Amino acid sequence: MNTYLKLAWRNLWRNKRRTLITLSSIVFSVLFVSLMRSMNEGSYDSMIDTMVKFYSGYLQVQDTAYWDEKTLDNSLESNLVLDKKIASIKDVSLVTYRIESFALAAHQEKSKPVMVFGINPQLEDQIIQLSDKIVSGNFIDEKSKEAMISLGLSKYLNLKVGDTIVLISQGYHGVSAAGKFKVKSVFKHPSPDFDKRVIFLSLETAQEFYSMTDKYTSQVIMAKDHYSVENISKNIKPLLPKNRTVMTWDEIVPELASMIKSDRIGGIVMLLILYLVVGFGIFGTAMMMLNERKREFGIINAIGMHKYQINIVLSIEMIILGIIGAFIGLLLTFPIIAYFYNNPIPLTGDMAEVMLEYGIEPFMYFSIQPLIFINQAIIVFFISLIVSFFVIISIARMNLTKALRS
Amino acid sequence: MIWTIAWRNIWRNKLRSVIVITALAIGLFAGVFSMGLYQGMAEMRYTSAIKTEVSHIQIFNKTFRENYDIQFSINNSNKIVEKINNIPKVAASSRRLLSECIVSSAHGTSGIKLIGIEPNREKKVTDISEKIIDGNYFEYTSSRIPTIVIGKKLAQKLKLNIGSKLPVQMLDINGDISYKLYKVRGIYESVDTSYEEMNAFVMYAEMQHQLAIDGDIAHQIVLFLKPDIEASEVASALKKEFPTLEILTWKEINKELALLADSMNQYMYIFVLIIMLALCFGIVNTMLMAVLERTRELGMLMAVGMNQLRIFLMIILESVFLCITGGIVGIIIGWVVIKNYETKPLILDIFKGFETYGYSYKIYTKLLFSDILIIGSFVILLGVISAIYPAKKATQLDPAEAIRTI
Repeated sequence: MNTYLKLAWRNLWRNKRRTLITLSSIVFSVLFVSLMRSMNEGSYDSMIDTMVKFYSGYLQVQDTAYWDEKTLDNSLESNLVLDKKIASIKDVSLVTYRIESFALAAHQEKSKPVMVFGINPQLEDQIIQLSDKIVSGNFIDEKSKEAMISLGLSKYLNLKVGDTIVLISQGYHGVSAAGKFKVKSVFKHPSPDFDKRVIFLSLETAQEFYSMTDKYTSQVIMAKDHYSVENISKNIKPLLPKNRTVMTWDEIVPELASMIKSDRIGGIVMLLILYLVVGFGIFGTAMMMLNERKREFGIINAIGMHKYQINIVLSIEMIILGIIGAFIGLLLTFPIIAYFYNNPIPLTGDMAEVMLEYGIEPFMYFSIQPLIFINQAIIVFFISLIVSFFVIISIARMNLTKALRS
Repeated sequence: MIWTIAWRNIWRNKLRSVIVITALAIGLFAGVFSMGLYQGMAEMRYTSAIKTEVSHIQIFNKTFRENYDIQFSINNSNKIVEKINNIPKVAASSRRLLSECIVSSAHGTSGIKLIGIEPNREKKVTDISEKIIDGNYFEYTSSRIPTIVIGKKLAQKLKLNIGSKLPVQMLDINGDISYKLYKVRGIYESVDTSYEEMNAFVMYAEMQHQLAIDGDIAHQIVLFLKPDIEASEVASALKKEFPTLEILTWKEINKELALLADSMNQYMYIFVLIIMLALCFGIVNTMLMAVLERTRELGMLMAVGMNQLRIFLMIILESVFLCITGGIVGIIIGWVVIKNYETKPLILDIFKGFETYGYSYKIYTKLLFSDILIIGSFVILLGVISAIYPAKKATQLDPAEAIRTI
């Protein structure tokens, strides 16, 4: 074995140009395949990141009955001990309570069904970055009795900062709820759908309006990124009392999750095509290299080395090339993708405009999850092994006399 | 002269050239094929959305869309519909009344858009009538309680079944609140669950009654065009005929769909570019080898008076010829396959289960000839770019030394 290894190693360094060319075909395969994966995953990352900030958050703790029947009667009480435990879980960046319900909003002659959110202004601002989106007026604070309304709604009801909006709804346990609120500010919600019908009140004011002292409909949990969600959910579950449950963003907004899922399948089809292309590239290079050495194989075969022994040496050569190629590919890919991760490619034209309208930054994002590159490097390594198998078969079929004369 | 030499040089090493040409053919076939596949998928997705939700053209009163205020309606709507139906490019048109309203059941309240339609006309424009999963589409008319057709998502949310009574509350034309009781007699399912949740249908006459409107008015007229007719063309003709109305094409109404239709191409070009880059390195390798192998020969050519420019051109031409040959083979195969699946669908089991999200697993491919031309010019460019480095290397040879190498 040692001899084979030595032979293979020396063969590789005998003709450096040849080795480097084969190596480069593997290295660049790793690079392209990883770039493509990273681009795909990066776009999902940014999509998820933007969408959870609109509404759902990464995770929510709710009463077990709330999801099926979203009424205020299925609400939670605050539990400081539990909050502290949840906040101390790794990767949890923020925990805040919310009240979410419907109301009929009216001003002068017009009325419209709206979504009412009771929020902790300071914490919620860190999720949705509301203070950047204020068109006029000022941000509400915790004690504020005033309302923040979305731009589309303000236009429909013809409301300006300082006007009064009337809300009519049903409160806790069927109590009727009615209230007048001064408009403190108008903001542009990044989701066009929400922008037509959202009102924010401070938690305290919303509790008073719906007659539900110290009760909340949900608890929103933000995380570092969506990769940590599963782990957080696993850690929260044992902490919760029986009547509470934790939901992740893909359960709360299943449309987004399934869209990503179906898009990912399309991405995999393209990736398979790319594997085919790079695989053939590696095959071509390896084939040419070995073809050059036909005479050499003929001679060593003639002086007594068995064909299977040649095959072993060749296999070792290809494995070494595959490992080194995949490794260098990994080393090369990382800084390139790290660059694109930090400097995403800006998009232009109509597409960028539509994205901006939806509150998505018009950039082509890349993902920097190490697993992506490592997986791709391993896959390319195996592709190069499969390819070399075919090449070696062609050597095994070599005709000795013809090879000697070539 | 150089052209002939370059072409003959390619065929001196048949194995190498065939490998490169095959790699190119596979790459380009993959590129052309996936382009056709994804364009077909995108087209199917937006045509299904046009058929169910958006229609090709929507007509409103000029001020209606600002606030969806029911005061701003289209007068003489029946006459206009008749007139539009006579335009040869229009397949069908239908008028509608629209109003935002609140529906409530024992399980909750929801704000939706109620659409008053004339089923016989509407059936020809939208295909909601074919998407009924329970009950029927306005077939049962002899009842005291009028029919409402709702989406599956709304039915789930409010726990409604066929036969459930549904009170609807809206503001009539005088600004008074008007209640009316409907009975659910049909439930439809659409690709887009948020559409399902937000839109319900009743008869035109019933809605007219609830809104306390009389006369021949509508809030919206929707048009479905005959196949292969540009919506913008018809829209501009309509704008001349009805200067007082707002006339919008589906691209203006649903920007997401327009984005899907327009951006699919951009994404596909990026993918083709990645494939080309991957191929590029294969070609650079091959050409580099072709040059280094022929050091002696190139030296000889220089010695007998071939100048550097000609050597450079010769190498570039060799590479371009390789690319063109491979490109033509790949594009022709791709084109044939795509044409084949244009009439009978390609069945991809991998997409089964995603039908509800707008992806069909039966895909009719589609490819424009202009895309083929663009890909073709990419290929030639690819040949030139990948040969620059090897060609430069060839011109740097010192003839005196090159001649002496074996």
